[in-house]
Amino acid sequence: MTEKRTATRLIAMSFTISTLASLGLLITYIVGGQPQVEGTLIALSLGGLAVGLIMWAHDLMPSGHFVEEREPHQSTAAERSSLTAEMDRSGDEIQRRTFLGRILVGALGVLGVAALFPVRSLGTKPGRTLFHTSWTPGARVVTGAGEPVTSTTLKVGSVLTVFPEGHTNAADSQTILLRVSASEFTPLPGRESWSPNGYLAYSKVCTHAGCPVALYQAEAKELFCPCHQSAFDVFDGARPIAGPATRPLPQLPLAIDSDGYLTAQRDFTQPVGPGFWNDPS
Amino acid sequence: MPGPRSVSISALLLVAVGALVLGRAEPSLAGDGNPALAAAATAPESGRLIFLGDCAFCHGSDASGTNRGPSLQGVGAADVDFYLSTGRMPVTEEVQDPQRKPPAYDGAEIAQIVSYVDSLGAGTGTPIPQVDLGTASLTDGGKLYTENCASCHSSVAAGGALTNGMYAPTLRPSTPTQIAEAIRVGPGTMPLFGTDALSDEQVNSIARYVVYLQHPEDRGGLGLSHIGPITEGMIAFVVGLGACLLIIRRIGTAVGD
Amino acid sequence: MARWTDDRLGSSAFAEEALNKVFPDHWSFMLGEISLYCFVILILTGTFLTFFFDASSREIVYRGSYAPLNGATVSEAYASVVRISFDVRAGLVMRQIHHWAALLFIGAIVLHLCRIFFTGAFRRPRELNWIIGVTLLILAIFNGFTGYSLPDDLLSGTGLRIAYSIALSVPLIGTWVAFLIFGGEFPAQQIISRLFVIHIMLIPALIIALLGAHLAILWRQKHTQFPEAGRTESNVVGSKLWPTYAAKSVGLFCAIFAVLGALGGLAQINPIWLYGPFDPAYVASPSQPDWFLGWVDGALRLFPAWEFRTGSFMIPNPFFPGVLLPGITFGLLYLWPFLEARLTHDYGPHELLDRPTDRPVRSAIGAGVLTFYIVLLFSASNDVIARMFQVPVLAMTVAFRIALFVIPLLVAYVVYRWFKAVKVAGAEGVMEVSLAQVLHPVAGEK
Repeated sequence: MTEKRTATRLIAMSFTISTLASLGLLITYIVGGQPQVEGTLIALSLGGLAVGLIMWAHDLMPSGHFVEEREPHQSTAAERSSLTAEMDRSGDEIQRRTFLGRILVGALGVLGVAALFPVRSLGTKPGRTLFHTSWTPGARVVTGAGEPVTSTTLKVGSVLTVFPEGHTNAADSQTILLRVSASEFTPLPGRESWSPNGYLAYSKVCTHAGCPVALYQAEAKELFCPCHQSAFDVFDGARPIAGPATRPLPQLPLAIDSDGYLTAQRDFTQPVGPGFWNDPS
Repeated sequence: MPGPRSVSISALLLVAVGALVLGRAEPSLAGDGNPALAAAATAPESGRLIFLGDCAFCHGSDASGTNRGPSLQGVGAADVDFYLSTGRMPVTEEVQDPQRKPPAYDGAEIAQIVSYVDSLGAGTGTPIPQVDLGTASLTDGGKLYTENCASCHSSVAAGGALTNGMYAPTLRPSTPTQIAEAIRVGPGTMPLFGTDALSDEQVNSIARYVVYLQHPEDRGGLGLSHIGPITEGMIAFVVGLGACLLIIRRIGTAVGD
Repeated sequence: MARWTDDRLGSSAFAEEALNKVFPDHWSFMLGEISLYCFVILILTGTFLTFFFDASSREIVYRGSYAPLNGATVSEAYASVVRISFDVRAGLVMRQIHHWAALLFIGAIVLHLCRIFFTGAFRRPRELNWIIGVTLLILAIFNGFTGYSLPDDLLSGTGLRIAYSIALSVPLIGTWVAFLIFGGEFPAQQIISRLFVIHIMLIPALIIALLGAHLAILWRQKHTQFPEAGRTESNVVGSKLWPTYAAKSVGLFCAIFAVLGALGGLAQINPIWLYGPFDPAYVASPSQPDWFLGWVDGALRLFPAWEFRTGSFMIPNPFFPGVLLPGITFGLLYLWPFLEARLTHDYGPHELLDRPTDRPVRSAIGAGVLTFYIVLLFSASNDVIARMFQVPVLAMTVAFRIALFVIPLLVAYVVYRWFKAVKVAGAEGVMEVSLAQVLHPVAGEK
């Protein structure tokens, strides 16, 4: 009996703590709230209830050894044959008309397919969108803030994210602009004119899964993607040298115009970013 | 078998110890008043002594470099000050990526060495940036930090892994001057940002934001090292589900109860 | 009260049957309840959040009490979550409880799934409930992903970009799938509002419906139980629903709420104000998804740089770890009850559970496969481990690739030998056998 009395006392105490904590929550909220206080009071309030209820169930309520019989899950044979008979009886009109049934199924089928077509309104047609970016021949190279890049903006060993002028919000056109020492760097064959004054530009969209290849190691001349650790060799046309990327970052052919501004000769020669089914690169 | 290299290193250490003892004697001779100012007045000479003792073995007695260390001629005061004030230099053996450690010299000595090395250059190189946090914009700093720094140093300046066994270090212990120096100089494998890429005002803002990140707003409670979803997942399992498991173990029975 | 209801619904007979219903008391049978109550808490806190969240990608200037963002151009979605965190009273604790509850919700489902698997509770007649359960797991993972992507912050936006690229990688239809889901080329403006609809309406509706079916089937079929004294294939032994089981269950709900309250107030989670708003041209490292997608991210990191080309068509690299692996994972999960029935030639009904040690082969397979996904999950943290322990990150990738095959096989083998020994010796539990018995199993007295 005393065990039950102790339990009752403890349960009452738990519920009281819970009540006080709930009052505390009210007050905390009224005076402006504070996350740590709120969280602790919620824990005390609900915790008090929990302790009380569980003790009540454990120590005071009847437990454990009640037995309930299971019935077999299946219906009896009589019930099953009764169902079959009923379905045969009332479904006779439908089952006889196989021709009508077939036309109905056909009609529902076509309606179902037609009903799926509004899904097409969800998005634009891929078309050739993935095959080009906003870089056009002669487009000026600008920073994210829209400031044009000149031939003196970057020192050797520097890096910047750039966009075509007027398209600083074009995610597919994001380009990483580096300056390397022109004497140390040998352009790839066919790309000799692409890197004036040591300025090199590569698409910043990783050819693996599309994250910006934002880490530049100026000594090792490597671009590194933080998502899945693909690394690209800046001196070798941004060829992937580590990680799961399989294709190099497309290079943007640069030029310096007569006023000293950096421009693009034309768009990238391959689609930027991750691959897709009819990607020609 | 002791080769010529180990003998030279022992000799260097002997000389280094001697020079350090000698070098340390200098500032105290200046008496009261600003030791740095007084020291700078005699800087080229005392800086030269320390340099010859501690640095010349790898960087050459005229700082033109050897096969053990690069040339320091024309690197500028910011570069030398950064390496010395973060303790990355001096090192007692060749290392690819010197790490921050307690500086070997006090402020006055560093100023002397910087002054000396700078005098060896042709006046080129980056001067020590003057960081003014008062005019800096926290919001601009946050944006610039995210765009230029967070990819290597993490959103919360905790640093990050690079390839080739290199790391972008944590910026927690960095002073505003060191932050600005690193931005301008690009130490180690870090790229550099000249005044045409990031203006002085922008560098001030970045420095101000990094200082903020050293004590970030953790309104939600324990910061959990600001690592992110990894630690959050671990806590969810170990603390959260762990507690729930203990509770249901208490509520329910076990086989044999 | 009961009379009033009975006058209208004739509910007395059902009510009495319900109150007397017997539920077995084993602690591991409450794992499902943990996930159920986490779901309830998600709905409660989530409803609060929907009143303050703004599902719009339109750019505005943030003006609020978080100083480092004051004057910054961010999306309305992001601004609204920063506002919830700093300017809405009780907002941050609600947000954090919500996110912690999501992590525990999916974790509890996985633990519950493991319990069902290792005790053979998925066997006839419960295959349907298993299928419903696996579907609930998939829905929970999707809702978790859509949920943490709603704030439009730098970390979750990076994850959306990866999801888009995975969609792109599907052969033939990938570009259409990606463009239709997102509304165009990444980052289309519609994605946040679409994720919102999916997150608060579509998936929760499906979860509630399936949960209802899950519980109704459980109610109808009655719970399984372990083979102990007095338990047979044709009875259920335990506590009655009223008052004992109900009290314990409500107590459990309060306890879970208490744990989540403590976490929600004391442990910071997803501090999006430190990550900054999403911008597709920028990224911070390290970048990880929440734990329940960590296995996919780990697979993306570990899968070698293989891509397949035939003529003018290609199957890009992310397809294999991003589409094929999850497809095979859930496909096998769905099929398992039928696979096992076929492999063991056991098509009969079971109301009594297996002790995991009674089935060394099944337990070994389960343990090995579980370890495989755990290794994948840890692989997603290769860069953080590299930074923390100053180990080269690419070396970590190689180490995890090796671990991915070696450790699961090792675990499966050890579990098989160990459980076999326990079974053969007739021991009471896994700790009741010696190493010698594991190496040379000897039949013991039962």
